[in-house]
Amino acid sequence: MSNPQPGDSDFVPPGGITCERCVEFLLDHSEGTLMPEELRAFEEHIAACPPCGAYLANYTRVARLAEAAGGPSPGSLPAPQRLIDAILRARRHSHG
Amino acid sequence: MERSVGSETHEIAGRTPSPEAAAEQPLVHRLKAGEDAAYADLVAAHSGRMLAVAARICPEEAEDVLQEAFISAFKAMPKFDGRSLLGTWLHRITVNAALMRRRSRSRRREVDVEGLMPRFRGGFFEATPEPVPEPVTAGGLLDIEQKKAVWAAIERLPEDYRTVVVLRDMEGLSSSAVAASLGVSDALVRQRLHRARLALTKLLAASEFAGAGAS
Ligand SMILES: [Zn+2]
Repeated sequence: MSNPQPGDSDFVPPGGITCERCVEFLLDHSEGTLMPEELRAFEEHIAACPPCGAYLANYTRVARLAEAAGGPSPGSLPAPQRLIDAILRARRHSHG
Repeated sequence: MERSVGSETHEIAGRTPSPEAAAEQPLVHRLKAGEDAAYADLVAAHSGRMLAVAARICPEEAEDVLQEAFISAFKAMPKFDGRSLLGTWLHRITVNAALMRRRSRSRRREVDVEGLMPRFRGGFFEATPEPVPEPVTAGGLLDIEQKKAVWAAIERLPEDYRTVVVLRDMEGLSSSAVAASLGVSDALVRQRLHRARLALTKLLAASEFAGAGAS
């Protein structure tokens, strides 16, 4: 490859930041709390750096998967009465 | 709002309770006094939501989790300080009970999160990271096998990280709510969440999740 690579003296990292810095920005990016100049650097870096682009996709996906693994929040069905009775009975017993 | 007459109100030193917490104070007093009817009210008011939380985290044993959570709460009632709402407090107790139950069932070895952080050379990725597969789903819902794989990965995280992922990403609490619930700083919650997600990208890219659902 002819483009300067990390380690070359004439290498300018995309967006002026390293991949490591870019990864540090991921949480703030996902929450929309990057400062404007950080956001610009982040977006420029992501656009020009395939590994960071792939990593951003992974990061976003992991957050979504964790959310989805929790399942739908059932609209809070009432607990069955027998269960409620058992809980209250257990309390009275433990209090003599 | 009506003034409470004749009933002493314990206010938390140096802190004005929120209107919601203040509204709960009469119930809290009755609970601390051990009134059976107050406990019946408490269980009736909160058991539905707690059961839903338990079912989300530990679907196979949600009812057992609910019972354990209430028993812990009854024991802890003398120490309830009224700084959070009863619902918030019970939510945290339920999440803890559900996680403990999962933990005792799964007996998975916890991973060292440090070993799962992305590797850089001179600050740059050496290679493109392995992708976390996109689940093929209907309407964004995971199937059973996919859920199992995601849970298997989450369960391998050390407890401090696991709890943050569950409270923030699954239960949808804000970072500051998680911080208040765990008694740690907001910054620490965010740091743990970030590192947990980094670790999960590695665990999920390598897991059986890769095959689940996509075929
Ligand atoms: Zn990069």
